Amino acid sequence: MKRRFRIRRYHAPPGLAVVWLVWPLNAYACPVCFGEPDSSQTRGLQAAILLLGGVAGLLVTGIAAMVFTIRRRAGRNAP
Amino acid sequence: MTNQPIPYANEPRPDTGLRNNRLGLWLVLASEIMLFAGLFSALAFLRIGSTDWPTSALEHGLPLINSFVVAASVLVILFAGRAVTRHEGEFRLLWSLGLGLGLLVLFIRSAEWSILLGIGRLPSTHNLFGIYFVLTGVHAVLLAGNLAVNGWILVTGASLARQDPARHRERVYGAIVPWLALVVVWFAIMIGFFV
Repeated sequence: MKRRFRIRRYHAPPGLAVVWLVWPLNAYACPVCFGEPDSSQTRGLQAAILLLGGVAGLLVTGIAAMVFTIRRRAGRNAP
Repeated sequence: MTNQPIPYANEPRPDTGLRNNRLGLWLVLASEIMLFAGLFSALAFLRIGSTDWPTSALEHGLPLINSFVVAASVLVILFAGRAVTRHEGEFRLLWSLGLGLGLLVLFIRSAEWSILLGIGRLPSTHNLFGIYFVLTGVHAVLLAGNLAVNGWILVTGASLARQDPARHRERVYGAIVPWLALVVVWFAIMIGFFV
């Protein structure tokens, strides 16, 4: 048998927490989040991403190249 | 527990042509590269994203002198690396000189920090000083570690060179490559802050 939902006193704190979470407030976006392409912050973040991504990409490419080289050498020199 | 030596540490493995110690060294260097890539990425974000970046507030003279000392140390260390298999006496002389130049780099760095801190340019003063102290500080810590290894090679190298020259040569190689990496990082710091 299906139980009927009843509002109890102990439901109040979680209910208030949900109301507090969904209550609309002002959002203040920085130029990066706002999508302003000419902002210095946006350009700074793009440069930082490019630098870190570039270095990580080069490093992973180097490791992959090393693995393939070792594999090729091992295959060539196998007894 | 038996004390087994690391296989293929001093001679290349026949099939892959790889030495285990060199593989480990390059993996450590890869992690070091990623560490500095993160710090330089932070520098790029702060420098390009900032509307006020007072590079002239940094001390210019001592870092420039340090760059010449670093460049001289590279030459000395490379010549020492060439001499390791030929003349032990020449190697020890050049290695000691390289060690001295490394200590001089650290001394100049500490003098530069003292000047900056003395005139109230703290890491909390501006993001420029914050990232400058972090980058040069991490570089100094790694340099100090490398100098400790170089000193250890200088102390123990003579007897090892007689007993096991190949092992000695590999140890020297393992100290030179991180040194070169730190030199590259130093010049990247110079370009990142002063150019």
